[in-house]
Amino acid sequence: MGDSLQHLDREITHAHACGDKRRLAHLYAGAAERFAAEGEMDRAAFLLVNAYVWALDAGEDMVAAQARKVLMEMGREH
Amino acid sequence: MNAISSINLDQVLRPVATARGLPSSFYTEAGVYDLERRKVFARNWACVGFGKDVPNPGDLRPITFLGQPLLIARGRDGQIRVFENVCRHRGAVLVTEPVNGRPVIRCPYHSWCYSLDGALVTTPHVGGAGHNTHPEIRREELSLFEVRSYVWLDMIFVNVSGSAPEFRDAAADLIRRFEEFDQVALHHGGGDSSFKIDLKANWKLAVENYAESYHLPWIHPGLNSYSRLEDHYHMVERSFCGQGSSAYTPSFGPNGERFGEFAGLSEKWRKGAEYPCVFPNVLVGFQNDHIFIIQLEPVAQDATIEHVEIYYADKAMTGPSFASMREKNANMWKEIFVEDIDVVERMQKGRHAPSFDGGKFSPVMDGPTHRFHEWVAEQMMA
Repeated sequence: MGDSLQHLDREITHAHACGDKRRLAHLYAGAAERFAAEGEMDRAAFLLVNAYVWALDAGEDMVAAQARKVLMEMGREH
Repeated sequence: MNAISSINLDQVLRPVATARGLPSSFYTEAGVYDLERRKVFARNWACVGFGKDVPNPGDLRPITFLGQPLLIARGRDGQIRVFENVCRHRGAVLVTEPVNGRPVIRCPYHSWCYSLDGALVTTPHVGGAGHNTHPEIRREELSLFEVRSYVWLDMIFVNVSGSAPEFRDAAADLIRRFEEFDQVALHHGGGDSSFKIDLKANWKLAVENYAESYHLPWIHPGLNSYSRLEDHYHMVERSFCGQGSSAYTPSFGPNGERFGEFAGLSEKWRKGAEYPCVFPNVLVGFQNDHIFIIQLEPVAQDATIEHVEIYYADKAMTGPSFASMREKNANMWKEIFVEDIDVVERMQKGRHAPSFDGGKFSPVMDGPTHRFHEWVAEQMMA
């Protein structure tokens, strides 16, 4: 997990630098899924919030809707 | 008590035959200019931009008006709205450059996101990491502050004080007179139909010069051949003033080609054209084949930017095959507007002469100018 987290950080940093919001939405959503699968729900929620924001900003409606749905189920979004 | 309390404006409010113009301080003093921004611009409907600059949903255009950061937004419903361009969280300006097709308005600071109609959509981590909610963060109370706006003939008007009558009531006489143009589609000519003119003069002098035809034979000699002084008449109304011509018949192509005309106009417009000054800051030219709009942007008591936009009646006229005709038309108007600069800037410089008393109007030729002075005086005294 450690190596893959470093890789994820690099990808996220790169996407930020490029202003690639769509990529950010998908990177954060993918990372959130991985942490959720390992039961790290707080970490997953943190990442999913970021995924939601970037999905909204990128017009990735499907990703945004899914992120919001999960966050609502977790009691972390209206 | 205010900056003009000691200035007697009674002389401005007299009938045109005995009136004097606005005092020179209205053109030269920063204090009067600041007061004017509040009393003339904030309390009325002022033009701040054009719909053609936000043509599609999600198009955002930040502007500064009266020192205030505003944001013009085209919603998903196609409606244009104007907001104060600040996040409800920490007050950061949301948008600093024109952008197109945005799904939401995201504050770059903490990523609070607003929909295009101003509703606060999400507040990331506001209740702690991974929590987008908090009982004290009631999103329904934290929408963007919307500024009253109204779009008429693609002009975006705002009333930032919120206290003016509805636009259609405030400008009822204007809308009634030009209602035929309210019914037609306007097609902006594109890049060749858009230009700016910098004026080293108070914004009111641009209005005053535009309102009257008295100066045409001397400043615009090129008009004498087809739009003579005797073909002109004046308009003196409640919310606008200006001049009209009964001899508008220009052609723009090498073989006398003309632009396509607006459909359904009445006989008056066959050779007629009218040039109203819409109080406070819009100058419009209505012709049967195109209209131009000049938005006056005051930047100081002695500096103004004129934003000129030209719209055509027929969408086909906006295509590449009519580019040379459009260019000729734009150049014709630009030449006329540039011809005015010298005399307008002379009037600005003349306002520093200590004995100038506002000026003596011609009872016959200066009716529109007098009406504008009267309107400004009324606003400043209110």
